Amino acid sequence: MALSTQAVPALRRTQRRSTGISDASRAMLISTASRIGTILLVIFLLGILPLLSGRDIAATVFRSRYAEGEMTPAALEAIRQELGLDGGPVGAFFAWLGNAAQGDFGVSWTTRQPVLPTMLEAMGNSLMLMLASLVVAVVLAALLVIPTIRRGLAGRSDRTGGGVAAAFTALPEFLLASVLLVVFAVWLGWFPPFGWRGPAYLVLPALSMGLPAGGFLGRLLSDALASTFSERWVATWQVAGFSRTRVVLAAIRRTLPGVTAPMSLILVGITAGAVVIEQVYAIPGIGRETLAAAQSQDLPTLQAGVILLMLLAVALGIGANLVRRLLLGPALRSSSLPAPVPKAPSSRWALLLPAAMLALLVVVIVAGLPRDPFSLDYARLEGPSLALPLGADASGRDVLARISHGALSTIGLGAIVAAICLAIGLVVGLFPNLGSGPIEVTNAAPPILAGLIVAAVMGPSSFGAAVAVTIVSWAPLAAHTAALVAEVKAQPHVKIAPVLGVGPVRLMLRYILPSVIGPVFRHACLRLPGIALALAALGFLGLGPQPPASDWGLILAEGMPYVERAPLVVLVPALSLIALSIFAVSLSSLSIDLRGGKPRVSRRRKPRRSITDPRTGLVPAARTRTADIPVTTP
Amino acid sequence: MHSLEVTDLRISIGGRTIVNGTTFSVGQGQRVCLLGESGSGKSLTAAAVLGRLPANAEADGSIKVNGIEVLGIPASKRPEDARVAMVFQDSAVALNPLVRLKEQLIEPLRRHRGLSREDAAKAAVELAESVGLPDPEQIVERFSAELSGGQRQRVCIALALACNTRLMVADEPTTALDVVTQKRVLDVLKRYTAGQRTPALLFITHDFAVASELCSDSVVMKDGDVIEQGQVHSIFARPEHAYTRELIRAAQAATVDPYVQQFRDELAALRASEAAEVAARPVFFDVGRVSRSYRMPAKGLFGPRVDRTALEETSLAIAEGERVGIVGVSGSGKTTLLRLMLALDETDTGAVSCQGKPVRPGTVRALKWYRRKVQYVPQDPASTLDPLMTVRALVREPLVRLGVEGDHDTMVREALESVGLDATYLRRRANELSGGQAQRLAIARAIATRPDFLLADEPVSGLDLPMRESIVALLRKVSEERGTGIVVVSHDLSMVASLCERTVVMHGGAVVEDRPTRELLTAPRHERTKELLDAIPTLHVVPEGMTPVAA
Repeated sequence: MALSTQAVPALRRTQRRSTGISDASRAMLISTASRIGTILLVIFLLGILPLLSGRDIAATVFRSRYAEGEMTPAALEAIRQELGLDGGPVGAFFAWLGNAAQGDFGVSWTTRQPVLPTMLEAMGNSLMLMLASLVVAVVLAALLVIPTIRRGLAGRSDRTGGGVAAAFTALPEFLLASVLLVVFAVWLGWFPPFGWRGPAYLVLPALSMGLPAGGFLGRLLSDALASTFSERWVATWQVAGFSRTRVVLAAIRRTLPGVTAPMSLILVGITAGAVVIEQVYAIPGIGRETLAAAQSQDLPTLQAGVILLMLLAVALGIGANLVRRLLLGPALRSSSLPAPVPKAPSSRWALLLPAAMLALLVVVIVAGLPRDPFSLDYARLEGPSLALPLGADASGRDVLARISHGALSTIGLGAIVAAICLAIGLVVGLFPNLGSGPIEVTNAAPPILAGLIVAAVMGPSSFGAAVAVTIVSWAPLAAHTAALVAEVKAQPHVKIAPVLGVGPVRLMLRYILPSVIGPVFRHACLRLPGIALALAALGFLGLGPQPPASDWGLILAEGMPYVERAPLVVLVPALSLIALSIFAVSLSSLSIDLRGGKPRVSRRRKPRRSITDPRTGLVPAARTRTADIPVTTP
Repeated sequence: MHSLEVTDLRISIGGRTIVNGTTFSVGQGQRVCLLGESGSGKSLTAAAVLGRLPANAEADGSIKVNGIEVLGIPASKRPEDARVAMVFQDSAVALNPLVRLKEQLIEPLRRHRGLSREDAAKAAVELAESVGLPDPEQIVERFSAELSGGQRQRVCIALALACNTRLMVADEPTTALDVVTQKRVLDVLKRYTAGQRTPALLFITHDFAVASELCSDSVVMKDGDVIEQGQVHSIFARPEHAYTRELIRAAQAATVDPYVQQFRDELAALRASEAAEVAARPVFFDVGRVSRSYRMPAKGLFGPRVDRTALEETSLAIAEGERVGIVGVSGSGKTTLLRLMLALDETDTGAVSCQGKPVRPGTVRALKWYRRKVQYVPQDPASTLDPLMTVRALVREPLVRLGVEGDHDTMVREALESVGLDATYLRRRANELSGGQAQRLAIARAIATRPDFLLADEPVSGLDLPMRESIVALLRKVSEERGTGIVVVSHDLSMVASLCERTVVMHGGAVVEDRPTRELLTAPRHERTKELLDAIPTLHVVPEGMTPVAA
């Protein structure tokens, strides 16, 4: 009796009660307004994209319509009026919006064809490709999940092994596409390398897109299922003699709602992956058209492409949310789902893989540092020798030197991006309701889509690539910050602060921030390899650094045409990138305690609950991106 | 043949021995409790009986259920006769949140009793009714999150009964429940176990009083060893081990019997004089017809919004320097009342005032005067210390923030002295203190501003007996030395009895009885007060040579 029979956790009660009417509805109002505001802002920016690029639009439009005609001021004025340019950005926006609403997205500045029909046709091709990739992804994910289910039924809910296999499937699409193309189309000749003329043309692209998605999906489902199997009701059911099939089905049903949000992000990721894949395999899809438009600054086509891709993403997101509501049913409104059981920290052996990859990268970088990446000292595509360990590229430059210097610039740029993301994430995360719109929208926007828009406005450059990656990479850090803030706020020593006379500013700076800053900083460090990969992907597409810069993605793209004559020019950057992605993924799948080493008040017996709001899904959002770390709560 | 026979069971995890050669048995129709604190190996023993040992555990010895060896055989692979039913500690997670309760009851009924679907559906309703669930036909259509903790735990028992086994294991099934609900759950367990056709029970607990209410035999475990074993009343009469004595003392401390006796004597000795004195003091807190309700999440997307009333037209006046206990079951509105009195929450109607001035949530600046007068002692006070702040910074914080005039360092030292900490602690950090010291420090911080009143929310729940006693003694000492009034919210009547001169019983958001503690305990008037008093588990046998612990 004395010890804790009567210990009803008053903390939990007060927590429930503190969300009274006014607080809850105000928070809801702010976050809804924030979401709507963000979406309107994005649409507005898209609408006035031509204005942002700083070119004389009327002249460009005139040229696209009448290639030969004489450009009279009167004609230009007519175009200005038609496009609403004389009304400033707002007038231009509404003119564009009015036309767009009627299905008129204008005329391409390069082909002089109406934009929409072309893009819709391209969209059809892309949808076919995405569907095929989805099939690949689902099959792969199912295969990866089976061992977890077997372990779960045996009462073991530890993380599955298979991390290495999963890491290999989690290569970025542009890399996997290049490798598959080289191996199966060029060397083995099993499948056609380029084009879009029949089912055989679908295989390699679908694999390139489906394997990473499936690997990620499988990992996500495995982790979620493992956590479901550690829930107590599984024990109750097994002890009560429920059949294995029923337990497994119920576990899957219980798991799905929690992963629909990240699953919709995977689908969105597939739409972005289409840009790369269609580029590599020369498929006339919407991604390739949009990329071409971005490169040639054909803004009407770009607008239409981005809007179609965004509509697709929004539709997928809404669909996933509906599915989640359907699956959760009444459990959602009582908002009392069991808190996830924290994962056990990874063993020391799990550190081996990232350590090995890091060592490999460091060796390459150190070996190439003293060499010159720009001088054309060697014969074109010269083979490897003692003086030139990794051969020369198509212009006769030292590949080792280019890889080494490229690493420094890519990773250095990545570090700057990560630092900026950290700062934005911390600031936005401290005001979780206000930031919920931008967090959701940018979290769902793939770097490539952002890269397309930024490149269209600013022209392709390293700076543009950095801006694009920053725009979409701060969101997970902000979500993590928001989750930690909510968690710290629920701790007794912070909850009591108002009674001691501590005001809101001091509460944030002195009580909350110190507990939050460490874990979020480490999170940002862990994201660095992923950010570097995103930069490389933009470089590969030509949206990042321009030749002769030695960016890894650029080196890979430059080598592709020569893969048959000198495999090393592709293999070396590809292998370096593979090492980097295995490093990123194996590092991210370590379950590292992100909350800092100091055990907070170990006297307490009750475990802290992780604050996961089932309605806003802020915390799940933080756990979902490919290069994310599982936010563990000890 | 025994329902359960555990012989020389040893369990180790990663080379560390957790259970060190346990031997005990549960006969047919018997209720046996496994007593011990967390870490004593009792839960791991239960896991081995159920066939749910963690993957990295190694076990040897023997476990026989109905004479069949089951050690190392998982639950799903056991023969029909060797199955074991289970009731887990936390009912909130013991049931699938997404499956209707009916479905969860029907499956084992069909499987283990061979019923058709229709018959099983009927049997599920009958089971729900027999474990005392209100409106059983409706309730089985619901989901687990829609039930209260006590109702859920009864569903779990129904589920265990549905399995039709010869042995049931219950792992601290009442730990998360308040006393009244605990009594209901224990009653159900008592009625449906250890009979002719009902399973034998292995009951795991740390609470000697609960064990003595329910079980005939007891096995006491400590650090993986069985230190004592036998009939509950003989262990109670002649506890051999110091640890067992400590368990018994803790159980006694939680009952109100000693106080009732003491109060009877006192009441007989003096009458009326003191009560008159209290009434003469000026009113400090005036809670006037206060109501508060909370909006619950809507059912369905467009369902009607439901308000849950936490407080309904509650009035309460508390005089300066008074020590008042507010008791009631979970959901009776006592914590809401405390939050309103702390100006952490707004009233719907009515108002709380302090010395005539209204008290409502506001900015730190606007509430400074009130925070200086009234401070807060939360549940498990030590948990509210920022572990990285020094003792000095912690105690100074309210002095600085609330702008208290005078030499802060002297005041810090004074506050520390009155809780028995000296100046050598000033530079230490909170996480370097022992548990007891930290609890004292938290109280020192609460009294640093020399408040007129301390408001405490379950200050000792979840703490072990020595810590409870020292906090209660400290609060009383502070109150007596400084004349500080105390309002303590709790469902622990024994703590209230030892600390407070007046007790307020709340139920359903209203005050149902409000009298001096002596009278309330010796002659309860209201139904709910009687229910609260009855629900406290009592030790059924008074051992020879042991006197009840006085306050």
